[in-house]
Amino acid sequence: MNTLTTSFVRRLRDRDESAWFELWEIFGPVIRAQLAKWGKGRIGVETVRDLTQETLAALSDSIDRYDPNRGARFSTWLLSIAKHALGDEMDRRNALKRGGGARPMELDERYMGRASVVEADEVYQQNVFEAKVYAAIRRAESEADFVQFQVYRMRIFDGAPGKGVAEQLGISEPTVSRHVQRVRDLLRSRLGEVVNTYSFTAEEESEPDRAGLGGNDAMFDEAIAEIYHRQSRLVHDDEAAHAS
Amino acid sequence: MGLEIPAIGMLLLAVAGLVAFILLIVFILVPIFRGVGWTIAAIFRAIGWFIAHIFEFIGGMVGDVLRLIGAVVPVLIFSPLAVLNVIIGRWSAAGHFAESVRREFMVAGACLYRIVLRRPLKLFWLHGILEGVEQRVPEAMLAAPGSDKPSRLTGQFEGYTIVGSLRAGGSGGKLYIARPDDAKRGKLAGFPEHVVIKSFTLTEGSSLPQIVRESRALECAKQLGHVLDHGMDEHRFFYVMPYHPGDHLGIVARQLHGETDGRGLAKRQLTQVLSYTKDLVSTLSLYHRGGLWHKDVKPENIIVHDGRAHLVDLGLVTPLKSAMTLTTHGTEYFRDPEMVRQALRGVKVHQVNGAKFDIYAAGAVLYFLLENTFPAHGGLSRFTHQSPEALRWIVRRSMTEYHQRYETAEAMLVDLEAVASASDPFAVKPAELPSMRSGGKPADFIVETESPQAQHAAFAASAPLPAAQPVATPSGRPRLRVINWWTGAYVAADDAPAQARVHVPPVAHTVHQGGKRRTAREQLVAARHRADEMRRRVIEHRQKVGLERQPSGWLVASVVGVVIAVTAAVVFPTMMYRQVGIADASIVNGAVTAGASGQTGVARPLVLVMEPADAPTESSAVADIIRSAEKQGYTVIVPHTGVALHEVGKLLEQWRTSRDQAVSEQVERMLAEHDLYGFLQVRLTSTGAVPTYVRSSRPGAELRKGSMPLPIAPAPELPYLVINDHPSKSDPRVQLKIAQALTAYADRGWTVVSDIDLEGAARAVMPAGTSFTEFPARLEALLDQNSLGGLLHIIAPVGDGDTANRLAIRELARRN
Repeated sequence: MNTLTTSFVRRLRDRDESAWFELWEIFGPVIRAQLAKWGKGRIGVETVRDLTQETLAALSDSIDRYDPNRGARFSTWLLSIAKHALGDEMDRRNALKRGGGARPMELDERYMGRASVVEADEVYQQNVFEAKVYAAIRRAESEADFVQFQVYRMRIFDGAPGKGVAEQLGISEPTVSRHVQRVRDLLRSRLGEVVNTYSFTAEEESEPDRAGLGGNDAMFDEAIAEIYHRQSRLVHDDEAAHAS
Repeated sequence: MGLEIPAIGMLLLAVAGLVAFILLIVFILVPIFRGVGWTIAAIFRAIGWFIAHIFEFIGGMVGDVLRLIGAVVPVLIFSPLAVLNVIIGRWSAAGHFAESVRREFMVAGACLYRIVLRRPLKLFWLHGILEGVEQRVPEAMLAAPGSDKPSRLTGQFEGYTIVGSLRAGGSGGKLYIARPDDAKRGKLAGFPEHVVIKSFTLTEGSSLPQIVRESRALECAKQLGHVLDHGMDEHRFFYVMPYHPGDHLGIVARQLHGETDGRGLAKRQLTQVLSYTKDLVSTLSLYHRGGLWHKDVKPENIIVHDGRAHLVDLGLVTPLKSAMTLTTHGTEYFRDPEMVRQALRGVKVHQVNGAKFDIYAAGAVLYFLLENTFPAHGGLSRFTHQSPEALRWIVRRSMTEYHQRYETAEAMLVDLEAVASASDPFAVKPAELPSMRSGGKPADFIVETESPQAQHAAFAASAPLPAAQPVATPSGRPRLRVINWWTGAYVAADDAPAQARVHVPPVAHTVHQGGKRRTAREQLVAARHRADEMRRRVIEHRQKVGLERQPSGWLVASVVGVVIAVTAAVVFPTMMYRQVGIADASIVNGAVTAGASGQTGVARPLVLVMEPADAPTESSAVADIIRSAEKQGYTVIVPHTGVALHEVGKLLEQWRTSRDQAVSEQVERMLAEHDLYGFLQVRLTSTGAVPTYVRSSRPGAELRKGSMPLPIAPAPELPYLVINDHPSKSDPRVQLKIAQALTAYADRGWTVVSDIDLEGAARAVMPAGTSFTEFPARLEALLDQNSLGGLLHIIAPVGDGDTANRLAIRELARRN
């Protein structure tokens, strides 16, 4: 594990609530989507939300027992815990239904042993990675100058031409380019940090390159805009399901 | 020759034909075949999807039928049991079985509904018909008002006639619509015809904390005219607000979007949206000027009545200067995530600018109105409906990061006015907004007050706008004197003496001077002055007790150190053993060295305790440990094995594991009286490993578990700022321990500063959590500006049991 991951793991071990909130913000929608997929027709939106909380709380609690030598990916590890949380919920329901015949399964260290056999499909892996990218965008948004980030958003995320952005904001086109470049640099930097923080294996750390985020500026912008739109939809669908 | 030309011509013709054939294949036949292939695949996909649809229907029907049967069987079992228990008078059991029957009926009813209606309609894609039954009916049922009359137990409200009720919110109170009588109307000019009474009754489920929370900002809200009257008796607390009949903004937004083609609001609807948003922001401005923030701005709390938007629900209204800890209350999507982060860090309300959280919520409401959905991504939320770019800019500016959003509600209002006053809102560019021209500062403007009541205007005019308080530079907590504990009313007591929170001789520190808040520069000068003063006192103290290093007296200091250490090593342990009733102890290894650091001039004596108690102390492993400890500035005292050591070990074990207060005090007293630093506990294991612990209540020692003793750091030149992050900091036991620990620091020559202003400023820029080791640049700068050497971070280490029993102080030095 790199120093960023170690630092984050240490915060979790210290029961730092803001670290937990960070996990909730970044990976909550992905876990909810996965749990909803597994429990389709059997568990409601509220239960999915509760189970997601349980999953992330279990992750915080079990971080002490995480063994990096086993080489499990962060995403797979997260998925394993989620699966056990769902399994526990199902067992709990069955136990209630049968009047206490079966005891609820305990969530313990088994997730680590089972990590390798949990099937993490491509969509899930992609969602986890994109959640990291989205978190990097959020960080860049909070750190960048407001106007500069809006220029990047209008230009790259909304696809507005440079001239149009310049006219809307009363600045010159070269200024638009400079702002875009500055935010892009910041995004690259934050992306590196976020991916490193939430990656346990070297293979996870190399995901940005495979997704086109390690390439030239044009490829980077295109890839990040695509991920932004996809992740926005995922989060929105998830929140809409909860709101309804 | 005559034959050659036709041959070449034929050859060329053949080549041209071949090329044409290839082009035909590539550009015509391949696309045709691809198109045919795609069509065939699409047909098969459609067939597959249709078959899956049919199977889903069949599978669903079978599943529901089985569930229905599964629900009927328990009903057949539970029903006789319920009846039987009624007959034999076992009421509890009868109720239990009756409840089980009810649950099974619910399951059976749901299955029946799906079998008869939902699944058949869904098979033919007609399930949209049921949307009203499944969504709007439950919504309406949930929103149904409660009883129109208060219970007989609590009676009526004097001076009011109850004429109806409203749906109660999540605050635990009941809402009644009432008509004030003439006497009440006479008391206050402008009393409306109908009012809403929010009532909390202890005997009807309300709790005291709810009542206290609701009453917190009552006086301020009364001044603003949002609360007209209030009353209380031993059962009940209630307050009276103006009644605004009408729909909430959520319903209004749905209606506005329903009038359009679904692509976004047209100009007419946009004008209405702008008008409502301006009303909202004007009201928020009034709140903020009155020293309050609403904290729960959302569409459901904004009622549209007479063409104006009225902000209601005072359940979470909080004074901006409150000394309470910030909470995460609020409504998701309309609550600033930064507020949650700050609340999780335990900051106080007065350390943040609550008005900015209201501004975030106002931006979220505007987004909701424009998009007819909630902003699921905060400031990153996308706009999918058409809307003026300038309005999108306002939304983003108000929902952006805390430090960069509008400083005040007035600044946001000015931008809204600019869009509203334009003949075509769509033509307004963000560059034309006043905030873009003036760098976010509000221009001259007139705030429209929600109510024409003269007292509002007078109050708004007289109340100074609270100074913007970014997280990085929070203001100091004012000295307050509570004049009404029930309502929470207070006055600022400028002449109140500053609370002495410093363990070292406190220096009087007033936040206000002559009723005015001091400038940042004045505060820094004062902080430096206090630090100098404390440093001078410590040096005086150390000189008085002979510990201060003299320019050419290091030799004298060393000799003094050796003498003290020898005394500590030879005399004190003997006394100690006598104190704990052990008479036969003697010292076999009293070799003393001065502190390796040479800074304090005093060795830190540790008593060696073996585990198990009869383990030999003569082994080479133990000798290595002792040597290592001595190199690092400790003096290790090795008593004889036997009863004495056993007793000490037992006492130590009790102290370590049970944390019994009496034992703890005994050990503390023993260590303090004899100036012993603590124990060196060496544990022999079956594998020959020798884990070593320094057990001590002295500063920093709690962190030294599981490793060799650490060298004692020299006392730093600059003062250290105390940051108390202990979760049980208000516990008297913890306060005592902290006081003792900080006194020990002072004894070691440290200068420790405890200053509420500086602590607040440092908290705002320090990393979250209790394990950070590096300082961000802003924290470094803050420490540098105040001539501070670092932080003493008081935390509770991770562990089991009561946090009051766990205390550690992290010494965090700044880099430069």
